[in-house]
Amino acid sequence: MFDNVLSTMIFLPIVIGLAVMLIPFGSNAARRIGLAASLLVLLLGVRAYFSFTGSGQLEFAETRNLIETLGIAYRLGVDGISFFVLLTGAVLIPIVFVVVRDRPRAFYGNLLITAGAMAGAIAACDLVLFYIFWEIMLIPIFFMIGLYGGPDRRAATIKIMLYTVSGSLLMLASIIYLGAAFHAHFGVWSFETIALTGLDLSGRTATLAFFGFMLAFAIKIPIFPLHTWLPDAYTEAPAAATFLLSAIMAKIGIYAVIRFIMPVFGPELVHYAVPLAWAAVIGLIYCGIAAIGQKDMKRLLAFSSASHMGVLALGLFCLNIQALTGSIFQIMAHATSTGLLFLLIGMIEDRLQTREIADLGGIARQAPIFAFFFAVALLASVGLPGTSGFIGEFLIILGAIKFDTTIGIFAATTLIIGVCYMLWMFQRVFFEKGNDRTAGFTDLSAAETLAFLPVIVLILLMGVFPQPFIARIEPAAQNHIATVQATGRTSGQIALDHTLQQH
Amino acid sequence: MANTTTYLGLIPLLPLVGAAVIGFLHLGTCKGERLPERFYGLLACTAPILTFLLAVKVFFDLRGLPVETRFLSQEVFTWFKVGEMDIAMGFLADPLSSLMLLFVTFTGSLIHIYSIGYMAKDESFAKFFAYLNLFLGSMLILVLGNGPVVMFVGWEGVGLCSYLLISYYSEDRSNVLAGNKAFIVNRIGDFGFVLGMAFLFWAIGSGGFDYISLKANAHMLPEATVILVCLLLFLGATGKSAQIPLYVWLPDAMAGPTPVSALIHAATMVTAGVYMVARFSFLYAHVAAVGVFIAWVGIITALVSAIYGMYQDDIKKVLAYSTVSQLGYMFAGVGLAAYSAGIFHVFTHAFFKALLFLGAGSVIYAMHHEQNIWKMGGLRSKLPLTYKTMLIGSLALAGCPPFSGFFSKDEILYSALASGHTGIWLVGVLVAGMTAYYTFRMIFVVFHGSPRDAHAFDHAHEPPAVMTVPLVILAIGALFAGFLNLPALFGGSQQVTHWLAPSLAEHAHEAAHSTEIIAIAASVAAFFVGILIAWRKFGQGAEEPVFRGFASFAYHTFRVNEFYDVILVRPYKAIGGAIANFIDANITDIPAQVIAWFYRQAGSLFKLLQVGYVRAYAIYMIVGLSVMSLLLAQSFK
Repeated sequence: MFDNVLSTMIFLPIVIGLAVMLIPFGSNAARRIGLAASLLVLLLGVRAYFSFTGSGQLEFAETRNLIETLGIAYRLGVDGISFFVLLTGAVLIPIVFVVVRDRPRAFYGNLLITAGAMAGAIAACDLVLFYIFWEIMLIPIFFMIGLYGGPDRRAATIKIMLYTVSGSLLMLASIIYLGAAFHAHFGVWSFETIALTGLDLSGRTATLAFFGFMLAFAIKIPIFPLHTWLPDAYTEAPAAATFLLSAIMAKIGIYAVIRFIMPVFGPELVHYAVPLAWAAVIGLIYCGIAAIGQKDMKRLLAFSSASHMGVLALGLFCLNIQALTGSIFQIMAHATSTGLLFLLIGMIEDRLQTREIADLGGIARQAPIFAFFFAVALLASVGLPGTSGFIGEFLIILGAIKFDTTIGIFAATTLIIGVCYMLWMFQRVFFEKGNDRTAGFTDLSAAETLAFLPVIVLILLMGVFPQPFIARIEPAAQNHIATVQATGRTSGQIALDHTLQQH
Repeated sequence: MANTTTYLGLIPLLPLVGAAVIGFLHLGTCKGERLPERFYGLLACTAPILTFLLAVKVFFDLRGLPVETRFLSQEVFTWFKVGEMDIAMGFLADPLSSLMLLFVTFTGSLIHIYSIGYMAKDESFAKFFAYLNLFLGSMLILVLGNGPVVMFVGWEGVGLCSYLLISYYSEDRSNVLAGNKAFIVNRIGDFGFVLGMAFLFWAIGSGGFDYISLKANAHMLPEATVILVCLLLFLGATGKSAQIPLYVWLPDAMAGPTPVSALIHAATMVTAGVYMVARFSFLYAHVAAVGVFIAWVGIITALVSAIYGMYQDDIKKVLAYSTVSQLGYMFAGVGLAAYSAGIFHVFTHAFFKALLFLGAGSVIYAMHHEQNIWKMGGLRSKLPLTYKTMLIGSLALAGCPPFSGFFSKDEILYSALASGHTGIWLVGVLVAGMTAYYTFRMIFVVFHGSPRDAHAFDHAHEPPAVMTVPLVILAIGALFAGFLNLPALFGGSQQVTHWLAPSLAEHAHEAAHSTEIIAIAASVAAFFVGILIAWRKFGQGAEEPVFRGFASFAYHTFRVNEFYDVILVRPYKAIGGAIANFIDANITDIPAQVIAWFYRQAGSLFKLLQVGYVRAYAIYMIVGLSVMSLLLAQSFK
């Protein structure tokens, strides 16, 4: 099983997910099977962590031809960047199966399929394969929002569908363009990401293809102003789906920019880095301010998440090692903190049937452990030193200042914006006097405490001892920066000079 | 290397471990049977006392080193290293940090002990001590951090603890709002701190981002960068140390339990900004203009908050504004490059202000949580020990010779006069008089005259020894700490200044003895005038005044809070509401609506083909197959 560790991590949950959907298990049995499967995936991930060398090259690679004439192959492999995104998912997903109870068995099946497809999108090293997993991972999400979501779930499902399908179509066109360009240049078809790096693209078509990819990923991340699907989808989706969307799927958008845009579209990225960085910064401020106007906890957190994704996206466009490493580190840091917050809010909703901030209060008194966990995730989310949230945010701000002073200064406002809405929400939900509704709030059970505890430990561990993580990320990040700058010299010279001047 | 140690990292670690142990015990037992308070109290005091002993060891180890290399350092592990940025979790004890270390752990230990009495029977007694230990650990990281990034860890950590402890009585909304305000206002300052670090890093940080390397490379900085970095770091200092324009959180912070006000909001955390400026004296000393700006901000803050202090009726608010005012003095000192004078005032202030807050805590404890001074009166007879110790603290605060505050404040004022900043000096003397006035107004109203609330007075009693012993110890400090830095005029040798010298880039302001005498005479005169007016108005008992005109304006602290509310808080919330309720759904959403419109149009176009007759579909198929066959035929040609 370990020879094909990546394939196993992908297909084990997909196969079991399908089985859970087809075989009439009880809800509880389905949940337990899901837990077992996700724990197995985690175990494989941990096992892989210890044999992972972090050389900056692809590891655990697997290759099988699918359509030889078209050069489409089943290629998997991970480097420091993708491996950490993969592990983030592996660590977080088992928690869902502990804390989200009493759902139909299809719900758990959908969760498993998404989890597997996400692992596939992360590990894929062939654009066509990536595209397939990218699409598969969304389908169960549509079902989860559409079938198990809140009262306005239909509108939310249509909106996320429209957005992401449009993005996907543009990406598909761009993928075909890249394949054709490869064929025109080398006389054979290939969609292998490493091979495509060798392409010397230029001109308007390349720019169009760049935007095809960029739009697809920008929608998924999302980058302002393409975020408007997010508040509705995050709010209406059941907590488990919101968790997957925010903690992992959004991060795959970030990851995809690094994996597919940086090596292939270096000159275009360098050329458009400043406007893209501005879009990210505007998004971080805009969504952060919007969060203070929310009445629903989950919607507030949706905007918060969008605001933080602006910080992560900014880290991509600064094109220096600090910012990029910060972004990759923050993928995991933000996934843990935001994922945890969404799950905890889901538990509030489960227990009290409301998410309205005005209806809540005094929960800290009723449930100190719950409040403590929430507070740790919240503090990580606002980037308190000592938690995982600080390292990434600090590196990104530092890199942003190097890239463009004005952008850096605006990016640093995240320090202020974040605490405003978070503390306000914490005050109204956890402090102050409780009411009849919150008086019955029960604290986390032993099993729930145990499920969350590893993530709490991880948040603190990544804050205090980030170096073991960074040491594995940095070589891959350094490779990408080098690739971008190497290709940048052939075209986009003006923009590159601008970046170099900042050094 | 002789300067590396292995125990420095232990100093912040001990209280952090204490906090974790107490915190988890609390979380683990809060649903069932609780552990006894005595157990938690002992556990909580262990770490502070051990750190104090280690601080003493640090002091003596440093003394054993030659002046040129008088520092101890320890790099515990590489915190993070990305490209040219290499940050170690490292600690540095030099004369400056060792002085801070001594009084932080000393007052910290006393206040932990005092809190055992003050917080007795509190329902989350253990949680309080977990926070207090966490605070001490963070404060020690702040003080001992070997570079700005590690300092920032402590800096934000103490901010968090401050928030948690201000919001401690969290059922009451106003307390939590005060906590939020403290955190948010401090974050505005931290925005400056982070940017300052970033600019400093890109200028010289690749040569090492710890104080020793930075100091060595500081000469490579262009002046514009130094000015920018110094101003940004000072923005951080105005947040943490409650200076204009960010002082507004500190008076509200009095919502926390009184020992917290003593430890965090008087003796230790709020002086971090002064410490930071002194820490970066190797930068600030190069840009005198920025220093003068800081000094003016400080002295104006001192003046404004002294005015507020003269009209407050809450005993803790009087002391809070007094803290803001004294911090202003400290900034005036460090701004004028009299770093040791500023730090010395930090040091003496820690004793007498902690003493005054703990004394106020005893009064509040005795009066069953009454804080309005106009409900008190004549308490001298009921609380003799509290009265005497508070009197010592007040004399020190008011600057009566030879109490500690006199020497440290005088040194700052003397520096202003000697460096030719007569304006700052004059304001400083005026504030000295006002300080004497508001301090003794408080003393006279609370302890003299006759009781205003007979019932509360009858039930008032001196608190237990666990609370009064720390008062006495601090009173001794408030009385004698000034002698540690006795100037030559009084036959002293300025030991503190000499001790601090290796850490600071100080410009000694040399002036004639006559200048020194003028400075002292003016301060003493101001003290007597202030106390005299206070005595005339309140010495024999007085009724609660009704404020009109300027007095009412000052009582309402010049309506600065309302002003900020109108120009910042409300617009921010309004914009947030506008985005949330209108802009996001109607304006930003336009791309999505365009896409949706496109799909809909395409849909209605294809709908025309969906006629529902089998014969129509048959025709589509025939047409489609024909076209495909044609294309295939073409490609096989």
